[in-house]
Amino acid sequence: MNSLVAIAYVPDTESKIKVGPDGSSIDESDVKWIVSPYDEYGLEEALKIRESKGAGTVTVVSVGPERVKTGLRECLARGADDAVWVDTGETKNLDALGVSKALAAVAKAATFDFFWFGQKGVGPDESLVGPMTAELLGLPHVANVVHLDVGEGKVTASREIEGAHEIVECSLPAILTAQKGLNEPRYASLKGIMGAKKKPIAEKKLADLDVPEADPAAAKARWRKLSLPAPRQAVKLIPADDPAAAAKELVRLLREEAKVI
Amino acid sequence: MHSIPAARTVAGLPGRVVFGALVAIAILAFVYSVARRIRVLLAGAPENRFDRIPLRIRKTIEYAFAQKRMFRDLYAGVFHILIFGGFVVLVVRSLSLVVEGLVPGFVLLPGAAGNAYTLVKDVFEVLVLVGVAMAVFRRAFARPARLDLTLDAWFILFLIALLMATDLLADGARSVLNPSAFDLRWSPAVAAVSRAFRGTSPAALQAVYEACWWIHLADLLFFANYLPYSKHFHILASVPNIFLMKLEPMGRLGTPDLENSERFGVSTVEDLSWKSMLDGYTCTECGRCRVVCPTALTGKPLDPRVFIATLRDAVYDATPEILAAQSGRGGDGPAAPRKDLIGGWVTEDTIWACTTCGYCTSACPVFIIPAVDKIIEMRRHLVLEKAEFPKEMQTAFRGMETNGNPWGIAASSRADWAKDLPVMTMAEAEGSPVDVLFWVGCAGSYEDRAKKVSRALVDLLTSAGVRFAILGTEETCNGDSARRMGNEYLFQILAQQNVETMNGYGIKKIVTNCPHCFNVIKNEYPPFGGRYEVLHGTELVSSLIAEGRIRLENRIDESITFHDPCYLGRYNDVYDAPRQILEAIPGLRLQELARTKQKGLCCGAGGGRMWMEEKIGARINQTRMQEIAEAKTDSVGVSCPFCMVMIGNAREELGVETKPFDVLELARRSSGQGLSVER
Repeated sequence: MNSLVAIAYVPDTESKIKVGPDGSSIDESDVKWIVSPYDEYGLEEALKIRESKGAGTVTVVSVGPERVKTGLRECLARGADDAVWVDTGETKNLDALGVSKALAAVAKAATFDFFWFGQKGVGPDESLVGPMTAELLGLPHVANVVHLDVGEGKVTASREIEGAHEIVECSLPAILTAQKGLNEPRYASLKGIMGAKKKPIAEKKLADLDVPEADPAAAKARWRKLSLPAPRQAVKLIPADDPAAAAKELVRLLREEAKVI
Repeated sequence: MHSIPAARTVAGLPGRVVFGALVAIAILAFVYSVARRIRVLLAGAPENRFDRIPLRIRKTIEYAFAQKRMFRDLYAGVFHILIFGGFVVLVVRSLSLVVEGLVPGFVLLPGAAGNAYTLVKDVFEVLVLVGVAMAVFRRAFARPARLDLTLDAWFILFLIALLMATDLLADGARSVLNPSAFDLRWSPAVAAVSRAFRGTSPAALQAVYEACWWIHLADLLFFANYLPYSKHFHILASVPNIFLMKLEPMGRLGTPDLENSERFGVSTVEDLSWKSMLDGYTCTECGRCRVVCPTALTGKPLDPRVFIATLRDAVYDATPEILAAQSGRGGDGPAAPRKDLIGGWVTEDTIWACTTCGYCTSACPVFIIPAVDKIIEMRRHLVLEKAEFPKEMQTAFRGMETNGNPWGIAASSRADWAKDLPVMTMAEAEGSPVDVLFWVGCAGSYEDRAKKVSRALVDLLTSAGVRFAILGTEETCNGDSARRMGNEYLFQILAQQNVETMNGYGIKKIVTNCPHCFNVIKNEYPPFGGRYEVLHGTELVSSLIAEGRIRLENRIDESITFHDPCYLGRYNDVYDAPRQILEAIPGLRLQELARTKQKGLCCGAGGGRMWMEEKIGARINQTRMQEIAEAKTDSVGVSCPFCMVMIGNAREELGVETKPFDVLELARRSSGQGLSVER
């Protein structure tokens, strides 16, 4: 069974994000980039399906600037068979629909049973690209998958919903978005790393695909302004010598300072 | 004239023919056995141990003949050197007896030289018997815990005693039968036996003489052929094993060429280097390596004495197949599948248990490396080839890959600890010369307690007027944990990056508070082109105290003990510097632990264990903390950020009073020159 896996190459979750001088993009100078952790679950599941079936290919796809090739190489090192890089060229901050259209264009040229996404990228964190791509391709999609049983031409997926799990049956090909808990992503062996250096990465230009959103003026979503969350306040300890007074003080603080009640 | 027994007829055949045939069979069998063992070594992975021959000869004299490491256990050292001395002296005697049996009228040495040798031989035969008696007493009554009381050991002691006794009895009987052939003034032991035989009938004496002569030589020939199949192969392998010892620093692991290799690490017997195999041959199972082994002491599956013997057994088991492959014979059809080295002979739990504390390496009298280097080779296989390892390690690997520290905290925050301090980075210092680079390390940069120790060193250096700088965000993890967890690829990337950065600034001298950084930069960076003078923080500070540039004036009226970090003490012989600082602090009373210095027990964090869960057996840090608590001091001095974490955790887990302090924190407190550390 063949899988496509969409890979977002995003700032490391530990990186200190700073707003760039234009006020609407991040300052990338100190940022370390990683494969988005949820995408890793998707890749791992694709690799496991290939291994359990003993046949098929896993193709990783990423839309972005030159640096995303490093992320694709990491995925090849972990066991993906080949990779497609959609070069965004001059386009920055391509919106979710633009990314989805680029990925859909790549998918249309491929035969696959699964198209995996992370349930969200940990970059802009929009949770949009998987479902949008499904719509563009006219395929069923299951989001937030935490367990998967692969049958003949269909899958049974357990998906996380608030406070419960929902069991969904779905025909193939399908689009699935992976949630934490689906699996434990593997670590690349050195053989894999060495082998990945020799695997080709197919290159496509965003401009050659039918993606009007590549022109910022045509984008449906634009980054107007970025600001950092307020720094976390020091913990306030209320002395509990007199419980009644402490409760009063707590309510006062929640009301007047935190403004939550 | 009584001729030797071989000159007579044996079972109707000429004695010399019978004896000659026995000797020939024994020699052939011995050569066959030893040749097989050597041919297997040739199948092992290459390793150059024939460099620096004069140094090797010196080491051989020091450790093989003077047996320096044996006297750490005085009792065993004494009886061992008696038996060893006897072996060296009596090899000549034994060979001369064999030749005597074959060549009529053979005399080893005529005249005075002969008399002198006779005297020495006589004395040593008695000394060997004394040595054997001491060994028997130890095995039968003293029974040190490190020994496994095997039948093999009793048997070899019996064979040795029998050799001595039969030689003395044979000569004693012969000297009564034929007094003119002996000058008993040169044979006090034989003379004593001779006196005891006075009055015995010549026929009985002749029978004793003949029986002892045959038994002695049969024992000798059997002994030689028994050795290659026993743990006492030690007798033949030890001297070569010492000559072929690792001469590189103990803290330097082998650096494989990853770009041009197909296989990584050790997963089969043939992947072991020939020297690793020889280590197995050499082990006589004395158990010194397990005495202070943190895993053996806490009930984990790694016991270095068992581990090295297991490797030896695996080599022996694979021997027929290796030899068949060597001689181009396929054997009879496909060979029965061999037990896997990893998973079969050695479990993965065993491989991941090691803290690389180096106690076993430093304890072995014959320079076997029982565990550490071999275990790292196996970890390399598991990580680089199979990517199979305890899953929590992945967090540390990824942290080092992405952010240059095993905690995975942002690389850009590396110098945040020094934000409010007058500390320059090398980039800022450009142009103005610095005396020393302060290599802060990941713990010193990110871990709360270790950051305080970094600040303490900054205070001390600043007050002493030392011009220093840090690399700031240009510093990245030194790679110790990655390397010792088997991720050689990651280690080499980090090492190359750091060496490039430091060489770019022309760094000559480095000070660091972390013994792991210290060991790696000092011992493991030279093969990557990084050659620096590296000092541990306690070394630099103790020398500044000695020069009077740091004055310790504030009293600390407390008792303290000191826990030696493995990579400072055992690996790099820095035992004095931290103690000199503690002793220089007015009022502070240093009291040594029962297990200290070379015998100090590991805290449990080395070898990347800091980043792994400890699920089997007692916890190593608690075991050590209990020893520390027994010293009943107010506090315990440490000199390693990982020891601090482990000891600190154990203190909380056990509810022990003893407070851990880094030696530099105490020095700063006593110097009273603090700029930066909160009181």
